[in-house]
Amino acid sequence: MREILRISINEEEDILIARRMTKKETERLGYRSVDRTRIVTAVSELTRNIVHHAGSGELIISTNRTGIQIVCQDHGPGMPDVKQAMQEGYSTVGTLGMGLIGAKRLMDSFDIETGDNGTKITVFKKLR
Amino acid sequence: MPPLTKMHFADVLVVPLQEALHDTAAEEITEEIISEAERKNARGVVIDISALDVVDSFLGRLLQETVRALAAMGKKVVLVGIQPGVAITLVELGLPLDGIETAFNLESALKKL
Repeated sequence: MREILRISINEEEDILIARRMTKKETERLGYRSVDRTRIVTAVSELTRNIVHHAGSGELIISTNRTGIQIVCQDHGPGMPDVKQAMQEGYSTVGTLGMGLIGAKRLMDSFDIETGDNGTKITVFKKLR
Repeated sequence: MPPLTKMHFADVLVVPLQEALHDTAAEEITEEIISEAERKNARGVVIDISALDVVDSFLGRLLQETVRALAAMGKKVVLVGIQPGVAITLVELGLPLDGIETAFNLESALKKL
């Protein structure tokens, strides 16, 4: 994986910057239109999660020949019960869980590490 | 907040949403749509989202709430210009626009009102 972009996420405006930059990269890499929308939407969900639940963090975009990897990491309080956040999402619309489950469904893979030192979410989308 | 474009066709309010609204601006704009519909005594409202290539769970939920609020005020609402990628991601996000009237373009939206 080669890192191509790193954006610090501190406020709502940064969500838009992250979306705009991600869109540009997915176009350059040759993703189809619907996949571009999926990837940019996932970035929107994950960066909003940073702004609302951690305050600040970072978005890191990397690529290789097979696809794009997006890492969102913060040094916030972590998620005490990830399983619950991921399960309840659909019944509690608009909450943390919904954005995370949404990002998971839009991407090909989704990994989450969370603890006292913050949260790191890694997602990947294959280039088709 | 960018200024909201408001058009009136007889007693129908037409509002095109611009690309790239941050969350607070999106909330302000939807509130403005609701008060404009009330102020101008609009019978129907057309919300045009054809300029949006991304509607995430926040904006999707906000649009649902706006349509419900307008319906509660007795106004008919049609959502226009949903791009294919947006339609697909909304379903994948678990936010299908069930019960919301949609149309392909402004002309067919106005016919539905």
